[in-house]
Amino acid sequence: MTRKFRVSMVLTLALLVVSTWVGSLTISSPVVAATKAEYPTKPITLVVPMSPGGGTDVVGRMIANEMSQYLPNKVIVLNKPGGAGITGIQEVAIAEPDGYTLLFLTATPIVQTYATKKRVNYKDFLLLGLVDKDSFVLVVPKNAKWATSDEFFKEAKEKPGKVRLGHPGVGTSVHLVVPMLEKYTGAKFQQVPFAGSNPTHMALLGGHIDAGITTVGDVAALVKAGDIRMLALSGESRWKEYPDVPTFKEKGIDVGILHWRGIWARKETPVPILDILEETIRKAANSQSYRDTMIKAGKIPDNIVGRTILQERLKKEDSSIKEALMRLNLLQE
Amino acid sequence: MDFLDNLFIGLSVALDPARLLFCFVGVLIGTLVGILPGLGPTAAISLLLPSTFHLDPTSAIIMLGGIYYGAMYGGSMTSILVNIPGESASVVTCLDGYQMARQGRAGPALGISAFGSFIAGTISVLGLALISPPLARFALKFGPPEYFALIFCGLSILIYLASASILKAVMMALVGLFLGLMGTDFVSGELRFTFGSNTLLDGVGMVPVVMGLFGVAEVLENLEKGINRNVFKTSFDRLFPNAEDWKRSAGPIARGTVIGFFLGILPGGGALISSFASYAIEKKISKHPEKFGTGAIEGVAGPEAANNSATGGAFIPLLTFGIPANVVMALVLGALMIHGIQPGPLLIKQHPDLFWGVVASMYIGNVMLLILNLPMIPLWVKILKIPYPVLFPLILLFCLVGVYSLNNNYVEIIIMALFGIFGYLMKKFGYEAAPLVFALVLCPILENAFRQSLMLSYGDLSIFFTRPISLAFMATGIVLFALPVFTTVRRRMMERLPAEQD
Repeated sequence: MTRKFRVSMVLTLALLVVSTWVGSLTISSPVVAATKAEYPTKPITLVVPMSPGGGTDVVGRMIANEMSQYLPNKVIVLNKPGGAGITGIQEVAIAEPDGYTLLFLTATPIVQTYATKKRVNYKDFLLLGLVDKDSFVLVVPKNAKWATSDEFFKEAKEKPGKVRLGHPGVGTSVHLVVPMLEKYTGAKFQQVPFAGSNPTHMALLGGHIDAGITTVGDVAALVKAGDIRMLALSGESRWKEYPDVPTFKEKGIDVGILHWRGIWARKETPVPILDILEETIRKAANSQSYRDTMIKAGKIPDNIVGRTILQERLKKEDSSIKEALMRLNLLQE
Repeated sequence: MDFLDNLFIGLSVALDPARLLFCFVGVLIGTLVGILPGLGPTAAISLLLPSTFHLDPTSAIIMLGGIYYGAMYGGSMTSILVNIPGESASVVTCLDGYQMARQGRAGPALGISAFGSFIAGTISVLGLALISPPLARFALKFGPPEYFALIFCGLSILIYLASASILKAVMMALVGLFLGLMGTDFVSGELRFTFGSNTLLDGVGMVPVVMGLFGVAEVLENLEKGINRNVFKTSFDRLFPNAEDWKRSAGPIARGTVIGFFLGILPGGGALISSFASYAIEKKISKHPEKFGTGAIEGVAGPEAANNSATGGAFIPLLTFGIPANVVMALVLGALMIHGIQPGPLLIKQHPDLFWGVVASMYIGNVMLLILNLPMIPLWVKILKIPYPVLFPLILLFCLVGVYSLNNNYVEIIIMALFGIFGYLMKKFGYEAAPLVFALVLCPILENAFRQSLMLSYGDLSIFFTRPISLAFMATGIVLFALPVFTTVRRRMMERLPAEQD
């Protein structure tokens, strides 16, 4: 062996040892049993199963930032995109249920429980609080021929499979609204999936699709600029900002489901910790700074906190999500 | 004149000392991040996003934008020096840039790359300032059929990328297409070839594959040939490009800038396609196409200009519609939202100081990057003087850190190792990696576009030929595919004639 060879072998080994050591440092140290008085003793990780910069990520960062004001330690966002949310959900599912790893997401855990076999089960989690809400909305390009949702559904019913309706992706909560609309109006659309709301909006602007389903928050900027029109939206009542847009319910279409985002924790998390978390979420979501930033960003802050109340809500959404998945042939039992 | 007014607003916003500092910090971080393989501007921006909370929106966007185009400059460094693309768009730079480095011409390669990027970046900023709205409207015309046609045309360009056998290049492209199919089906949600792994739910990631094929495989090949061999020629010709280099690079830079700018506007298109397209075009119109792949400076100048120009183009859909053209722009969008600004068609009207400030600062950032990168060239070149037995473990560590830093997923390291071995075998048998990478990245877009198009046309295939833009690209693609076949057939027929006459 030449000297150079020996030197390089030693260096390689040294590097391997150093990197392994550094790597081991990042493995979390044994969990300190937290009592009500002590939690949180270290930063809390809020796992966001979506790419940074997206709607869920932005809201997650805002609420994490706000919650950090009310806790002795920070709440830090960790993005874990992939598998339509499954990667991030599983990250929290296998973590220690000590209240230091939380999940920030929409109703996706419920969807994925029924849409993918045995990968996630939303019943392993408790929904602690909702921090934003949004309506699903039927939109058309500004020069589309339909002036009202009545005209739109009439044509979709008379010409089944002809009206091209875009949506942000198969299995997304937005997509699930489509079979429900079809159920109550008798219409049948030619569904065109896109990779997210942005490509859907681009396709609308370019006139490549006839209409789209999206959320008000995502499309607000384009609506305000007049490039896109909203025909009807989901929810119990009209939006203050858009008084001319009727709800689906007004039109006899029983789609009252809303798009929401909230914080989930493992159901095994100790009760005192859950209480502290709920209290913090309540304060954060109610704070003026959170509400102001959300509104300026075009989102709607919400503040429904309490795992028992939300349990009921989840039960209702469970059945409507299952039905929508079944109609789309996505249900896996 | 309107433009001068806006320029004035922009400069007054951007030349604020605090903003200049943020611009500098952004481009510095961007360069560093671009150099580190795997860790791209996406990771850097998402890490720094929380710290921009307390800044005003304009400063925040200036800094984040600086990271983005800074990363494009930095990404070329490692491509040229150690054949590892620091950024996905720098893959093409590896082809000729690394060969130039091995011939002792790393200095001119780095220099042309820096200058080319500067020129392209500046022109694309001008384009952004002057023709955003009409360009954005043009981009809207690209629906699924147009995307399919564009990528189909892009794949036909692959043939011209091949240095050696076209057949082998096509084979590698097909392997790339297959790899691109792995993952979750876009429409039905079915899993394909994921082997029960969570990591493969989204398919084989591009970064582990590229690290393996380019970085690890290169190291393996060099190790096989003997660790004490001088991988790089130790005497250096010169540190900066000379007049002849400039003469040869002027055209590629100009063409690369235009290609990059237009392709950068298309969401999902971006820097990668534009750098490949530029390379292929330069090779096609060159008088010495056989030199490509052995260290032709045109193969560095063109793609580098293209990928930097694409960054300017990528801002356009964001700033005019509020629609991000790629992941990095999505992050910038998120940053805007966190600061209470709703990006959309009204952004220019409601926040002119933000828009023009960002535009002006992009130009300033490009200047800073040039000043930053040029004096570093002698320093970078010294790295090549490190004895290879010491250098290669560092390269491997680099790759390891790069891949792991993405998702903290050790499965991706295994993928990188597998592709390292595969890449080594490919090199032994003369198969090229570039077509594979190109096809891998484009396959998902290609397939999705195809299926969406058929949904739009209710199953009618003619949709690709009845829409003007789509027809143009399809026709070009078909011609490009058919041309080599036609020429070969003709040549064979000519060769046969004299023999038959005997």
